[in-house]
Amino acid sequence: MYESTYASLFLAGTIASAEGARALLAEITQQGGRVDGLHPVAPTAPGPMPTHYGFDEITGGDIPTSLRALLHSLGLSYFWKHGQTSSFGAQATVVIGQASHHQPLSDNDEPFLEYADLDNTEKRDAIAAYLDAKAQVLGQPLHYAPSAHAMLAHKAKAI
Amino acid sequence: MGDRTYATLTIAGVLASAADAQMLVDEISSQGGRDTNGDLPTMPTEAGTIPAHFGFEEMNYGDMPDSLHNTLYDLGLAYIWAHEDGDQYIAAGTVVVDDCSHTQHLSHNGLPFLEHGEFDDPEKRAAIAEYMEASKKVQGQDLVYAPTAHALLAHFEGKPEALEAWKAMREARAA
Repeated sequence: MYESTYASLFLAGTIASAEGARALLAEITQQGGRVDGLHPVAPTAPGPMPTHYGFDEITGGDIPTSLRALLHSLGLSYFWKHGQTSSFGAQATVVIGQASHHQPLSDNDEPFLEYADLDNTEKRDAIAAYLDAKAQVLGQPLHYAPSAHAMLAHKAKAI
Repeated sequence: MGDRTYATLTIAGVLASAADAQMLVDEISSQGGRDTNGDLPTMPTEAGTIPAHFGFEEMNYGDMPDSLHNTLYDLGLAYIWAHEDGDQYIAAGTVVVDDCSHTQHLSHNGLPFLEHGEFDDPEKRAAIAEYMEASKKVQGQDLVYAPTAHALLAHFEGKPEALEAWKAMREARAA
């Protein structure tokens, strides 16, 4: 039996339909996700949405399969991080497009190298790639642009 | 209330009398320590190598009880105390050997590690190397019961300097 732990989800990208936004917030709510302790609310107008969602009780720590599939189908990038229990350690995953970076975390939420890997270039590179991807996701907004007009406006801003 | 976890103790050194062995057995038993068969430790019946690895359930914050530390210190024994993760803290190990103590946080594989930002920190790398060295030193030695002068000399055979050092250490701790 897996233990439960807290988890954080940071989202980045553009949600291009009202259905997509509703589906995402319903799924986050279903999994116990909160924004600053409150239930997430569907956006009523185009614009930025909250990027950080907290989960108190995630069994095993991994992102729920249905949430992961939905994020994939919506084309959103994300950073998922969960805490430790007495059975497993804290870990984090960053997904941008098809690329996924996974790292165990120390109690300071930092990726680390074990004694035997201190000079392992491959592992150091993997950590660098993870940190770079994490910075990309955390540095981007989550934007709601349900109409072609809103989408173009958002893209124009991005340019 | 607390945050309890499992811990292991590996001991190395010499128990030079029945009284010393009894002291160690009593202390480990009183802390609920179990050997690798899950049994409480018992007094050795003859000279030689004795079980040196014990597990302790429900140790608050993974801390070694002070009385256990004091007993091992008084007996001049080297040891490794390692505890698993709790809900609020991660695994850690402490090695005490040759009057030096080395402590490191441990990964889920039981290994010390460096966080990103510390990878090229020479001091932290050296501390990890020292921890591993000390750990190997303890693991490379037995816990020996040598309750007679004959058994003690047999244990230190060919190592007169080590015997003298051991005697000096015991005298210093008894003082």
